[in-house]
Amino acid sequence: MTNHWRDLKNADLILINGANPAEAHPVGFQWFIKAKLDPERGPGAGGGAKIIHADPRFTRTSALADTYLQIRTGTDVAYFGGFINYVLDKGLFHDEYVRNYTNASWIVKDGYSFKDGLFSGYSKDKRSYDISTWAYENTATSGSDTFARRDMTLQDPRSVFQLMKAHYARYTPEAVENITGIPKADFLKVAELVGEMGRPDKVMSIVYAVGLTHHTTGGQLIRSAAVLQLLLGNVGRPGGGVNAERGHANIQGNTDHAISWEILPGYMRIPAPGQKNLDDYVAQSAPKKSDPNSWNFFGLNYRNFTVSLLKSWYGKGATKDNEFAFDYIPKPAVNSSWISIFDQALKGKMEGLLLSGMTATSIGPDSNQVLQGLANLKWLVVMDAFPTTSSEFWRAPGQDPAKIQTEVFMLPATHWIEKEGSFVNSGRWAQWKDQVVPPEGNARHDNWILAELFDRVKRLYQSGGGKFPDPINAMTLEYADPLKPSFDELASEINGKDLTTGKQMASFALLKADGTTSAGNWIYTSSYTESGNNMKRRKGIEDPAANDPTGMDFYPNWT
Amino acid sequence: MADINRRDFLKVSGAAAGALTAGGLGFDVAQAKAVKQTLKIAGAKELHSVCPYCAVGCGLVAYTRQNSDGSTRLLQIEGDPNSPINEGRLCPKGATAMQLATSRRRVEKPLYRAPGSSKWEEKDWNFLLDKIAQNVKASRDRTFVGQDAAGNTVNRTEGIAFAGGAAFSSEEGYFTTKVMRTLGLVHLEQQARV
Repeated sequence: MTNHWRDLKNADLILINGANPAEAHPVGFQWFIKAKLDPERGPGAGGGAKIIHADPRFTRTSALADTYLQIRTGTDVAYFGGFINYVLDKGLFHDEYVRNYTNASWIVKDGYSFKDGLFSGYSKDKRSYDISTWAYENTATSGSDTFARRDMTLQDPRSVFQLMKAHYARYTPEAVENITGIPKADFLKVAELVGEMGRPDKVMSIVYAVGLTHHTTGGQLIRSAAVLQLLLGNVGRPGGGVNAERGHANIQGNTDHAISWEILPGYMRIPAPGQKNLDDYVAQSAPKKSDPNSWNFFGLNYRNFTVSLLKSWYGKGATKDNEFAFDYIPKPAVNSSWISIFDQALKGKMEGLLLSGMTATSIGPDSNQVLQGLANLKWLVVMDAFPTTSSEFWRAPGQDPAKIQTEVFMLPATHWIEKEGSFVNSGRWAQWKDQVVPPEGNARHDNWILAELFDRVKRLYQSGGGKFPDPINAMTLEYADPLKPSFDELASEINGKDLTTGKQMASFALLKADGTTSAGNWIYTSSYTESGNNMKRRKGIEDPAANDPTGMDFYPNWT
Repeated sequence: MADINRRDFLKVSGAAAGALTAGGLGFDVAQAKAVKQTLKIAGAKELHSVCPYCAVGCGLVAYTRQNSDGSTRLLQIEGDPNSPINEGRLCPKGATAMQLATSRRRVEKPLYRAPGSSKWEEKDWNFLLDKIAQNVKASRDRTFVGQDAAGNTVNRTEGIAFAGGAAFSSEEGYFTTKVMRTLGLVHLEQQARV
């Protein structure tokens, strides 16, 4: 979410697409209802926020919505596109916001075009786009920055604004009806409400979940929502934003910590083959600003964040002389995501798989493919508190264990309540949890299991040699007991330190690329400072005046 | 009746001794006191947690008591009334989270399934960890690519994958990423992808 759960009570209009929060996030849904019951909220003269639910199914969320629109699966681009067209056509966008705080005024370079459903740069043979024409017309260069030309009147036909207007003109109410199946009259009733949300004193929230992400066009579906919100000036305001309702207790935290093939903790990219050093890597990965006034904090700090991460991981093994151990990070050549794991297993190229708190056979789109894939592995490790369809795959119905050679290891892991550490919710609040009960019986924490495993692998390399053990030998284990890293020690490492003083870093803005700072994840720098574990703070609603002085539901000292 | 919230009411009515006056609650509880009900959580240790299910992140309050043998007994889990996120409310899953914590379906011992076997064998942690470590090293050595065909340094392990993590703490997740990338894994995924 750009915003957070409680903040939804500040919305005047809520569009829910591809989600069923009344059933899937019921306690979060109370904030939608609070908005609905608040006479200060709502379109027009108020009287309560309006909830619009667009979904192929009529669910409990639909039952509580003010308007239910039955929409064909995956057609939300046309749905949001229809609103974008409506808003642009009738001039209902938030003028000052769009002019000054979006790229609407920027001029797109000659060569970019869209015709017959294809953008410029399409190669039929490669079935992919060369995106070099998808760029701005540049006006000046300053150092490594190249700035885009702008037209603040938004009239230039090559401005983003005008190109967008032309592009979205195709999403007429008739086209929306044809594509989405939503009757034109119903669509227009909602469009009128949406149009009002461009007023500076009105704000709309768009909420979504896997109904938008579970498509090959998921990125485009969500981006359409983001474009609409920017046109209406709804991003960066209480009650606004583009809000994903994530699914698991700590999916957000672990996404931030990059348990994903293509990123590093803090969302820097995984390096690519051909990038020989940090200069290459940063030049090809860090975002660049196209406007002199743009902060571009991520691009500006990319190298600081990357080097600080490498110092956390490789400590003294990461120095100026070896590009701070840049080459220790593996560089994938191809998409190495979920589907690839089982694809490779089916091809006999994946030897081993470790699963933690997740059962592959039940979560992916094709259980049978996964069962076959698991049967092809040499070994499978499952870290979980319960037996799962994955740990038991070899004796699933229809499987012949005698034919399955996979060595399977079931490692009992601890429950959430048997260990401390933080969970990050969909609203990006990192909340520390106490260890309520000690681990039961033989169960162990996942980090202790991995620490033991890593230690044994390291010893094997040290005694027997093998392929490129350098990173393994260099990995930092600065814990009182390297076989049992504590949650506090890890949280402290994630926050980062000033390596010249040994003190915890106070802010990500102070991270450097010269090897004098470390940070396991810059996003969490200032979560665990010299004054303590900020994720433990619990100044909540028991005293709203003291704990939420602005009254805008920030509760800045709750976590 | 005086303006009083649920929590304060329970605190007052749970008092085992002392006269409860009409002034404290606004009405006379002498008759209720006669029933002498002791709160299940009286004298318990109160700790804070977060719900393990969805991403709303409801605050939980968990109550425990020490048994005479020193073990800890989990008595109750309920919503944290001070949380700006859930204000003490829980959905059916959160409200029954205690069942997850105390379920007898959990795996009690580390288990090993040999190739071709039709059953689990109970083994100790050392046995399993040693074998897994050997497997990791063997698979890594067999599938490690130091330099690709174009001569680029890539240092990747193509034959080992890790998937999961949405349910463990961030600190475990961070450590997982650190260890797996150090071992050279490129197939590193979790529930976000699916």
